[in-house]
Amino acid sequence: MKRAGQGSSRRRFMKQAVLGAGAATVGAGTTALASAAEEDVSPITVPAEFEAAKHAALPELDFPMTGAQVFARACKAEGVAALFCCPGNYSVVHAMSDTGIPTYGGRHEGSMCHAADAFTRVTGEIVATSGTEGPGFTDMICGIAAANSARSPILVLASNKTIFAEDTERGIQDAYQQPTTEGMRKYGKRMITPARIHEYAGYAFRQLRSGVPKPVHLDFPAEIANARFRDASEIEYYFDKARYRTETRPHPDPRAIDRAIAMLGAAERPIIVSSNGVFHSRAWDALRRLAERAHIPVVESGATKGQFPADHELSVDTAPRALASADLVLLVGQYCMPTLGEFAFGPDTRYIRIDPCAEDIGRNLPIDLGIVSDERAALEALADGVPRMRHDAWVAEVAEARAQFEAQNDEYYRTGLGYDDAVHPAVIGKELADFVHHGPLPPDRTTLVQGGYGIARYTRRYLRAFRPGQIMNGAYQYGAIGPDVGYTVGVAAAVRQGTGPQADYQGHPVIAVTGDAGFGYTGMEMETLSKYRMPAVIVVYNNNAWGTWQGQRNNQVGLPVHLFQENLRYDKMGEALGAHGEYVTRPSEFRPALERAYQVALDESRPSVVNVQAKKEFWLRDQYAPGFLGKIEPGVMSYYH
Amino acid sequence: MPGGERRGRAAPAGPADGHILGRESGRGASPSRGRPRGPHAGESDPSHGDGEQRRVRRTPRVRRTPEQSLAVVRQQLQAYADRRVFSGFSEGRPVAGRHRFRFSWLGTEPLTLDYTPATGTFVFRALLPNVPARSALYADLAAFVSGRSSTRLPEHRRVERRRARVRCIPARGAVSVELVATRNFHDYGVNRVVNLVHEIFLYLQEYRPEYLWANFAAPEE
Repeated sequence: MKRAGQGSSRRRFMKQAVLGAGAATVGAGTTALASAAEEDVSPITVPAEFEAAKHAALPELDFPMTGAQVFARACKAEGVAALFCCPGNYSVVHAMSDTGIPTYGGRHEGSMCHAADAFTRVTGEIVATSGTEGPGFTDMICGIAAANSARSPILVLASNKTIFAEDTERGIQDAYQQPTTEGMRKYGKRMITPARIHEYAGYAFRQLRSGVPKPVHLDFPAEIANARFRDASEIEYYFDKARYRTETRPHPDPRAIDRAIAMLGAAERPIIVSSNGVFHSRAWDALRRLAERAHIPVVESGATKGQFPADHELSVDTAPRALASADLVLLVGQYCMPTLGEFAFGPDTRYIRIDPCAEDIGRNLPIDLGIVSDERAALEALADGVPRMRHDAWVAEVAEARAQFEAQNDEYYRTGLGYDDAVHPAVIGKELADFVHHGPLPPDRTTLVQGGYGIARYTRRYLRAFRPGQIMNGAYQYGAIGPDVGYTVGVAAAVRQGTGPQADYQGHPVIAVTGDAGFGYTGMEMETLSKYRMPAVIVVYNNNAWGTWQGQRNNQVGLPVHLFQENLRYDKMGEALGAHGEYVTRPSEFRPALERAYQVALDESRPSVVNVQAKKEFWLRDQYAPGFLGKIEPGVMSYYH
Repeated sequence: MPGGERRGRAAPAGPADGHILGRESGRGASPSRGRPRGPHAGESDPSHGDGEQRRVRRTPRVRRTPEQSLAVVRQQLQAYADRRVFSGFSEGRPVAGRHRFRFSWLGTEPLTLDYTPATGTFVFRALLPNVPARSALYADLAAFVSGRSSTRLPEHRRVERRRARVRCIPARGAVSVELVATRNFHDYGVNRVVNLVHEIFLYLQEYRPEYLWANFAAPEE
């Protein structure tokens, strides 16, 4: 652990940060972790097997094959980008790993399911997660539900009791899985007939790769995973993926496009809400083309941010008070739809909704025009057809609202600096943003995990997304506060692999924000980050309490439920698990600690915990203005929409 | 960790907003310190001269009987219901020339809007429960509502003083919101009072989320 005053050379950090991280992020080997080696008799080491596994040749995969291998080969052919799991469901996990699908093992199936969700949210790619039957599977439930709310196409796999022992409770870990995930998945199946294994892979990928994505859950009785096939003739429906699904997408009705263009032309203050579907259909170029041609401001809503750059003059991400002025809203790919009163848009606002699923258009939010279409196809059609427009007065209003928002953020920061016996959340938000966006790093470089509860109300005001997949919106819709370190595993893996939109940022450190309550749930995954030598900086806002404290603080009898011990050392917990630790107790210490942690990520490709000591009373506005803040996203009454 | 002790330098007691929120930025205005300036405070707002007022686009004056005004207002409210902005929309029997509309909108409990055609008065009655008249929250709300007439707000976000006056009314621990449409601008009045309530909820969401948790079953998340 280092305190303020210690640290690595700032000059060296600046130099390396500008040059890039690529060269510094490889080669864990068997080297003892630096700080641990200095302090411990038996230093924490990464076993040699990790390095050996990187260079091991992939086994040849051909008939005769098991059911697990047939399924794994289908996953490989479909481009499954990674697998996050814990031990269990061995035959499937190892079969998938043997195909070369990058496989990560963590400490808890729930965290690994969150990691898969996060990987998808910053790449748009399909990812698998796996757990053993019974406990491993049920550990994943929160992760599946969160992914379902975020509309993430994750493939949930779990082993299961044999079909032979159905209904007997013979053995252990007996559970009917499919009813458990009902309502939190797009498709699920307990496979029964071994010869249909590949057919069900087709069922799964049709669902994962079409329409509105959501989790798909397959459970594998032993008879399925361990079935043996001598050749392809023993497997029914053994089709190439080009035969069992299509890559074509629904295109918009030209009349609907014409009507939308007319509505946009008639509106004085139109706005585009860019959400999950824009990311999943990779429609950001079409989005920008439409916005610029028709001079229409854009605000982002969804499980990931960056489809439209926050520094664009048409971005409304930092002008939340302008939202209520919009007279026409074009919702694109807003899969999880807030209800009317949950949006900041006013009661007279009209709505156009673009969504690939007709059955969802009109749910929750009354529409004035619905367009059934793949988001990219619709945005391209609109961009091609719309005449050049100007909305100068409206864009000027957005600019003024943005200036006011930034001025208010600066005021909050100055106020926060005045509280010098603990670190105010505005200080964390502002200085973190200064570091990643306005310091030596290119502003689009760092992929961010935006988690936490109360701290998020501040950091969301300061952090910006400049390119697709730059910010993962952690608690989006489902509101789970604990997954953040698990999410970081997934985001760090995505950036390490350079998957999808992360390709240009491969190998660079990622930064996550979480709270002390959140860290408690998945903090053990610091060990996962450490053993895979993932360069991630976890900022923990440590205010000694659950976020529920402020609402319950006058309830003397029940109050301990909402409290922790004070001044807990999450940094030391990180150190004990192989990470670097920093403990920050004053505002002036935060930025240097952050830079040291980032330097460790660059030099050693190792994660850090920056434990920032705050106080729960910061949420009390009458004592510590500005207190707990509201949300700035367009779905202000919903959860980070 | 000791609680309740104020540390550090003095901080603003509330948002120092610019004109989008209708507050007079740069004048040290603080919602908690501010006091409501009376029902028609906006008309004598010294920060904006008459010249600015005169630049406002003129709307032709419409003469209507109370019955005609009621029909217009009813039609506009019904349109919100038809678009599902309001749900459970209903109209009660008039009492002493006052018509009462009830509907659900920004919470689980139905809201009550009273409209008196003869005076052009709209009142969202007891809109905000559990706000004592002498509380900082009431002061904030009153300042916010009176600030909605500032000419520094965009025209589509403000309540024009020459067409309507707005104020908060504290009574029995709750706050009602009143708009009085002048010179028969009742169609303007009903639109503005509905939009004003929307703005109030946005304001509470941004600066007083805990109030919405406690009183409108808003999720803490």
